[in-house]
This record gives sequence, structure tokens and C-alpha cells, in this order.
Amino acid sequence: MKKFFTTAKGLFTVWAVLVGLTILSMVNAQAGTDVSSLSTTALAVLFALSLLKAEGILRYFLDLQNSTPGWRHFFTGAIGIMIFVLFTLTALKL
Amino acid sequence: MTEQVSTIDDDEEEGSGWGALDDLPGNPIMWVLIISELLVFGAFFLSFGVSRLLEPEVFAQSQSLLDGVWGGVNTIVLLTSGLLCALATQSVQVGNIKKTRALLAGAISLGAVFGIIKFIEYGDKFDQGIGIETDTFFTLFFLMTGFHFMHVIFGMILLSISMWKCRHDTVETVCSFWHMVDLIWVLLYPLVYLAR
Repeated sequence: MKKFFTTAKGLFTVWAVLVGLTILSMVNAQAGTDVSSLSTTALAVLFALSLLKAEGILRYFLDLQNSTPGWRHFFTGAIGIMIFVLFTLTALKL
Repeated sequence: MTEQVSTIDDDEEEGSGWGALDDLPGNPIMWVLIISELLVFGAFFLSFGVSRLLEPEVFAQSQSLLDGVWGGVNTIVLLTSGLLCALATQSVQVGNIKKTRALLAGAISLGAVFGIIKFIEYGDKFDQGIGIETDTFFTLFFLMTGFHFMHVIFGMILLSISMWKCRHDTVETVCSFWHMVDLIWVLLYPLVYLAR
């Protein structure tokens, strides 16, 4: 499976998934409409999708899949924490 | 004992003195840059999040002036450019220089498409009388997207150099930089254009 993602076909698959996630983000956030605020669920989905996209780029385009689990966890954890903080700041209403 | 010594020697030969960074694919210094850039943009993103929390009405009003659809189109443009770079890295590994150069040219062209869309977006904002000093939202918007755009331009210059000096290490390192630019946009786009 890991080998598949190092082939041209595997990279095309990753790209198609990333494009699909981007379109899903736009639909979920109702891009291009006059909606003034998103629900907490829609915000959670939006930020979760961006974490998935970041993970896809790191793992398959930047080839982190061929690194150690420690580095993979480090990057997933760091970006995950950052996205969680951003989600919290966006969802919070003072 | 002799075997143990030779294992240590082999390990030293495999690594290039970068310690844990040697476990990362490609040039370790590029990963130092990737981590640094993530920290810099992470600070920008946090400033944006905190400012939105403090001035929700200003942010809601100003954000409604952005076009989330064109931002999404730009995301797809950069992702496609990243795919071409990943394919170029594969291609140069098997010594197919002609194909590598064509893929890199495609990646540069898509970088230019990203730039044109950005110029149209900036032009549209300037025509509406919106600038970096309009409000906190647009100050952060122009700083973050402008700084990212500078990385896109620099990345296109680097990709052009790798087309000229088409060697595996050069292409791999430059493409890593390009993926980093892609990665930052993937985090920036939903935060600035979509989350509200």
C-alpha cells in the first residue's frame, strides 16, 4: 500500500483526494454565498478537512511516509494542535 | 567486535551529520526551513484568530468582501502544481530529464496562474478603495497572503533553476520548498476565506 503512493498512479490518487477535500470544504463552508456565520459543526468539519489536506501533502507529496513514525507524529501533532487552537478561536464568541 | 565497528561506520556513512533530521526524506536544511515557515505562518494564523475574536464584526464585514470560490480555485491550482512537482521528483530519479523539465515547466505555469488570480483579487480590492490600512482584517489579509505570494514567486524562481540544473538533489529540494508553499496555503485558505 505504501509503495502504491510512491507511483505516478498513487500520486494522482492523492491529488484527486486533495482536490475532492478542497471542494468539500467549499461546499461545507458555503463559499460564494452570503452566509454570515457557520455553525460549530461546519467549522469543525472545515478545520478537520484542512488537517486531512495538510496530512496528505506532508505524507505523500513531501514523502514523510518514508520517514520515521516519530517525525510523522511530530508533524501531525504540531499541525493538529495549531488547527485545534484556530478552530477554538473561530468558534468562540466573546 | 569487528562487525560492530563496521556497522557504526556504515551508519556514519549513511547519515550526513544532521542527527534526527537525517531520518527525513530529502535535504535536511529544507526541513529546517519548512519547520521555520510553519512557525512563522503559525504565529500569523494565531494573530488572525485572536484578532477575529476581539473584533468579530469588523472581521465578518471585511471577510464578506473576499471571494471564497476564487480562493478555492487557487487551492486546486497549487495542489495540481504540487502534483507536477511530485511527478518531476519521481521522473528525475529514473533519469528522464526531458519529462522532468516538462513537469517543472507545468508547475511554474500553474504558479503563474496562481499569481494572476492573486493580482486580480488584489486589483479588485484596491479598486474598491481597500488597502492594508483599511482595518485589522485587511492588514492581516494582505500581510499573510502577500508574504505567501512572495514565497510563490521565490518558488517559481527556484523551480526555474531546477529546470536548468536538472539533478535529482536539486529537483527534490526545490520541490520540497514548493510543497511547503502549498501546505501553508492549504492552512491559510480555510482560515481566512471560509471560516466565519
